[in-house]
Amino acid sequence: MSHLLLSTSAMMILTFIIGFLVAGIIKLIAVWADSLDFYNSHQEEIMRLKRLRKYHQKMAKKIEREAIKIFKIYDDKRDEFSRGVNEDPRETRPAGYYHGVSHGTSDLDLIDYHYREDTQLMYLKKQEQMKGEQNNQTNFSKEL
Amino acid sequence: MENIDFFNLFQGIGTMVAGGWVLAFARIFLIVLGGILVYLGWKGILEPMVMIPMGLGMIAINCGTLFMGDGLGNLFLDPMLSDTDELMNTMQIDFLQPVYTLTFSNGLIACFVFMGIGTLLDVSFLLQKPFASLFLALCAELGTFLTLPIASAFGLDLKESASIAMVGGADGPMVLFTSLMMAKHLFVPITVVAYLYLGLTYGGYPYLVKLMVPKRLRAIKIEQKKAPKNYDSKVKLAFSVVLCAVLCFLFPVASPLFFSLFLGVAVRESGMKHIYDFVSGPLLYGSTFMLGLLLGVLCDAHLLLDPKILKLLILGITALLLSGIGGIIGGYIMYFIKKGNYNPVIGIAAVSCVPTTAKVAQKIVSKDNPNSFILGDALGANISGVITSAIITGIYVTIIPYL
Repeated sequence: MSHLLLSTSAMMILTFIIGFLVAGIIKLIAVWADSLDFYNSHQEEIMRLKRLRKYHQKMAKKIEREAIKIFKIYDDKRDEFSRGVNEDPRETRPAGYYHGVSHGTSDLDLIDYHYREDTQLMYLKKQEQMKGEQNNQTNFSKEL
Repeated sequence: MENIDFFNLFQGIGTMVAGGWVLAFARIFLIVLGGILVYLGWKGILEPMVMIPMGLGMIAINCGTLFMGDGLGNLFLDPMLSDTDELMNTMQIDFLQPVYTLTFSNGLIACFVFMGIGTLLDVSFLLQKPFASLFLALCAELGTFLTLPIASAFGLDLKESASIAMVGGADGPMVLFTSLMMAKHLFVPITVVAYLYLGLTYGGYPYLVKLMVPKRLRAIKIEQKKAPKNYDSKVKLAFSVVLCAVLCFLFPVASPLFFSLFLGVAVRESGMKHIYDFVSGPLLYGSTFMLGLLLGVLCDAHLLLDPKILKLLILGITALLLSGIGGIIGGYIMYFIKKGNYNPVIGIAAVSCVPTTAKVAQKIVSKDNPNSFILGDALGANISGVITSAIITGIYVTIIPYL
């Protein structure tokens, strides 16, 4: 009799386990249904956000392409330089500091490294102009 | 003229005399009981769809006994036939034998009833509160578990005990199926006892509820924190497919019943209108009616004289009573878990007599508080009851033979 009671208890426990497993499956289906419902009710908003994201990506690509084009137009070497590419056959400018390989002490200053040739020219012109102005001022004060 | 034997001319009366006073008394008792069942069905106290054909069948089979070649018999059916030739001969004579052999004794009619029940189930209620519903249903299987050792103590073997214990699940097709699989020799009396008692739940459970739940608690109106959700038919269809697959995978022995139940749910949710109308109408009601009729004609006096019938009658009512008590205890546990925001009467609906017990629960609550609407929760527990009794059927049929 005790064996039968034990077996009955075991079957009861098994039924409870399977019952709750089934309840869990039903709950999963209900949760899936809820999320599906949420998705359906917000589908318009999600579609709008998706369209916006696509447009953003498109715009970003366009801007990037334009920027690259501008770099090419003005013969900007910064990009290649930072990647260690040196297209100057005369090697007046050493290649960039690339893959940990140093070219030794550079003859160029910071302006050479970080600014384009036209900017450098502009800078030199400005510098010359400022110097000229300074000289003029000194001459004027001497005359006085 | 003087050679005409009165008892041979009116064989109904003649068999009363020839069979002996015990058999005669049993036949009269069953005729009277049949009349009472017809009356109670007509009054709506018991389920009329089962009780009226059953009562009439009981009357007809016990009145219409006649002298056959090898003793007393009838022209309805013989449930004990197993020899193929004899069966084929009888099928051409007894008018209900083909229906019995081809639909009843192989469980087809139980599957048809289950298909019909499936079309009645709105699984939204179960999807809303699966854990609470399943918990109540598991509690309401108390009778199914406790009757097993009790029946064994009564002297029945384990398979017979498991078959009669299934009455606690209050699911006719499950009892029919379990007894067919495990105790074929007791299949007729167990099924008759089960259906007889299932008819009584409609009338008996309200008294049990009133006895166990005070009026103050019966009148509780559940405050819903969230508005009840209506699930899409796509979700309900997915529910039936997934659950059918899982349960068939776990218990292949009960897979015809799982398949039938979830096929009913799938038919309901898939929008096949003509099939839905057929399964939920003619198939369900036709099968239930034929089931009642067959159960009635199976109630001949020999059944009453079976020495095990008294035990089965006691064990059947014990199982149903314990299950009802278990359901209400489950209701009380939920009442304490939900801190008073739960009506313990819902527990009785977890006894899976779809949809009778759910209707009984709502009827009791409405009487004490017309503003309290618990039918949704009750139906959730009710549907869970079907699932848990199917699980127990699977467990009993699989495990009991190894004990």
